[in-house]
Amino acid sequence: MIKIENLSVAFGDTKAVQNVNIELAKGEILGVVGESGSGKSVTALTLMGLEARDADITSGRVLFDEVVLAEAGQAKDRALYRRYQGERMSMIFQEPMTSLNPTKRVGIQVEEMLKLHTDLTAAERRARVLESFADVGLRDGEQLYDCYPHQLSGGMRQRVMIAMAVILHPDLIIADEPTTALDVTIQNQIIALLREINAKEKNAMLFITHDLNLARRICHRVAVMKDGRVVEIGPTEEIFANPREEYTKKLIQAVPSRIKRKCSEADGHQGSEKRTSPVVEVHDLNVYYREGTNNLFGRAKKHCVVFNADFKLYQGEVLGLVGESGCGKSSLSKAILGMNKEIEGTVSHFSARPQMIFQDPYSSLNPCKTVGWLLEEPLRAAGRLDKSLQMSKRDMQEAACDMLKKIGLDESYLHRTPSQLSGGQRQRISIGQALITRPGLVIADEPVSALDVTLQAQIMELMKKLQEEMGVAYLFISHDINVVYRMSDRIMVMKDGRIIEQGRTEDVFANPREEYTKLLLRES
Amino acid sequence: MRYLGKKLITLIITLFMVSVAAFLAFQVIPGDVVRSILGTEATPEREAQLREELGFNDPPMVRYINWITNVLKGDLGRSYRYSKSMNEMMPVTELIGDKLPVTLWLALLAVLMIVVVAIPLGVLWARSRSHILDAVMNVLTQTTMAVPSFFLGILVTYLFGMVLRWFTPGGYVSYQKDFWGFLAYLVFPAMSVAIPKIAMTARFLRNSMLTELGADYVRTARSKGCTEQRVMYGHVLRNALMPVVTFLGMIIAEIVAGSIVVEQVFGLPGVGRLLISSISTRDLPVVEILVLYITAVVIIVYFLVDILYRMIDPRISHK
Repeated sequence: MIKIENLSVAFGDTKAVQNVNIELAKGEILGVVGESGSGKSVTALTLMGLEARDADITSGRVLFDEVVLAEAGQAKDRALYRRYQGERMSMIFQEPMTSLNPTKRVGIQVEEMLKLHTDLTAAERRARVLESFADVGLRDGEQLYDCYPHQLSGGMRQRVMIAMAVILHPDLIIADEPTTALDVTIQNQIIALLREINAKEKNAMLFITHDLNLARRICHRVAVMKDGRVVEIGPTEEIFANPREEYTKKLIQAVPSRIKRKCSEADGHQGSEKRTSPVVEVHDLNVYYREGTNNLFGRAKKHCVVFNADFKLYQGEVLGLVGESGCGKSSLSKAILGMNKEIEGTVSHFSARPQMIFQDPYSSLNPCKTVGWLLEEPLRAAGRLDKSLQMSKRDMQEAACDMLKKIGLDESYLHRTPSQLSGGQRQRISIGQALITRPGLVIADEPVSALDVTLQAQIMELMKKLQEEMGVAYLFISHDINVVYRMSDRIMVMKDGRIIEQGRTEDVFANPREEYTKLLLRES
Repeated sequence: MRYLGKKLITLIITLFMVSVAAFLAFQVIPGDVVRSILGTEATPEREAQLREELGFNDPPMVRYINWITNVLKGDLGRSYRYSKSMNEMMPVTELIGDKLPVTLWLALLAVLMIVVVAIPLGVLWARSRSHILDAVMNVLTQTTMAVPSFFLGILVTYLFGMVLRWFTPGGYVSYQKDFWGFLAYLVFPAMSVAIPKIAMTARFLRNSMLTELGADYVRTARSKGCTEQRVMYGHVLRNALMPVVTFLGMIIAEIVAGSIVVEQVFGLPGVGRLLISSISTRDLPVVEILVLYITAVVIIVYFLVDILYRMIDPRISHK
């Protein structure tokens, strides 16, 4: 039904997609898997007629039921595309918050589809919208109709997006990382819903993801993309069982899974012997945050976001903290570092100057400073606070060079700025920054969540290696239980501001006590 | 609703603080008012008498309370400079009363011009993909933004008054005599106020729209099959207007409070001119009231902007 023939797309001199051939039959779910920059999204957007203005189709064409929608060398026929967009093919995007117009009621946004493509009356349109809300599992449609996107949860927003995408029963649905921005439990509901829609409507679906496990669960066939090319395409199980390409094998191996851990069990045990003295002790900690402090009259409201946290973190240990977004993981870590002073209970530090590694290496490094400066900065800051730690310029430079080697980069990087580095390299710099003052404790808040799987594996390995070399303790925060499993000696599971379970990683995974932990384990 | 109540109280408190500040400022400014009123006729007796009359012998606290209660009752005090008849000083109410409409109409016309011209212009500019238009608009807006308004006033006077003869420079018509003639005359000063602001607003809106055009929801709208027109007016404009509304509020406040120069250039008997002459002649009651008036206008405009903002962006009021 859909044919992408020999498609190449370029942005100026950069070739984003090269000679891609994809066919998609009615009722089929085809997964397009690849890391960021592999060209999977560009392919999908081109198919949908939404490619950026500076994108050029340099070869090939796109066919929809034998109709040529786009072809190299031909001017784009927007009017033709508009007849297909929405009605015959629709798209579900990654980020449901920003993909809905923040200033329009969600009902109106879904209704717009009907307005654009049907002649229904206003009453009929409203009825159809409510019907489609019910179809995607949204209750209280009447009330929902008048809500704005920000009043809904992430999962509900994505359901609204899906309602919008399926309301006209299109022949093709393109889902571009539809669950990446959602928590695991919600993820599974959305995947189930998409599968159900596919079974009922028999439409074709192009499912784009960086997550191989996810592709495995929903797709009939999988195309693996790398550097703009399709390197391998075939039935899902075949690809997973017998990957032909080196790259596919690497991708499959890089996925953090619980089976992998068993092999490295031996060195995983070291942690427990090191458990001598604690680096931080948290006792009966409640964390609050204030709301509406810039108001002259209303008394600031205090919300409790973490309840009765109580744990110890020992020298050289990795303590994993798992939980979904909004469960209070980040609030807890801020409280431990003293960045939030609205607390009750005690946090006792037994090491000087704990450090932090942040999630997004793109925004957490000052873009106008050089790598050398960034690495020296924690030393300068320490020197300013404590005269005995002051170092000469040369010593600092040496320390920075040393650290560069430790994080797997060489001296030539000293004078680069973050914009000249890749995501993985930037995250290495963040790690270097955190470790250069030789802290006893480092809090890593989702340090690999913004990275591709192959990079994730590398960064985790680096963190492990440095931890063993330097004997630092990590509080390792992640929403991904598999990532935590791979890194941690002990783990804590957090839900709605409470630590509901903690224990040695193997024990928790083998015998989870809480229902919620079981759910997390089952669903990922 | 509760929000509006709170805002209103904040507004009143601000005005109160400004009134105190305005009053105090003129207590500490050097120079003896009594002596400057009497001038050559000053004798110690007359000075003492006038001092008593004007209440200068009371402690500042009492004088402030007297002044502010009178203001609240609608009695804005009397000018030290302007007299109504031989023995009576001009009440400030009357003095300002016939000057205020001139300034307010001037501001209103200018703001209308800005909104009516700048918004479509900004949208058009954001939509255009022509490099030539882009370059022309860039140069045009940058130049107009850089021209000071008094010079623009002179240019307008020259072009429309002397060359085209669409109006008679200096031929101000009082609004009490001929309202339409008055408005027709005001168009030109309003133009010289509005033109630089139009350039700024259009530029601002265009940038804001370009930013919004990169947003995810625009891609969603396109994926539904929306036409460019619909994407622009149905989705982008409202979101892009939010920063522009704040900007417009600042501009309006600036125009209302700062029409001094244009009033001079076009010979308009507005509040701006009165303010200048009152400051230079130490006509304190007038200055104090004008300071209060300007503050009130600025605060009220911001208040309206805030309400408008809430109407445009549902996220604010629901928080």
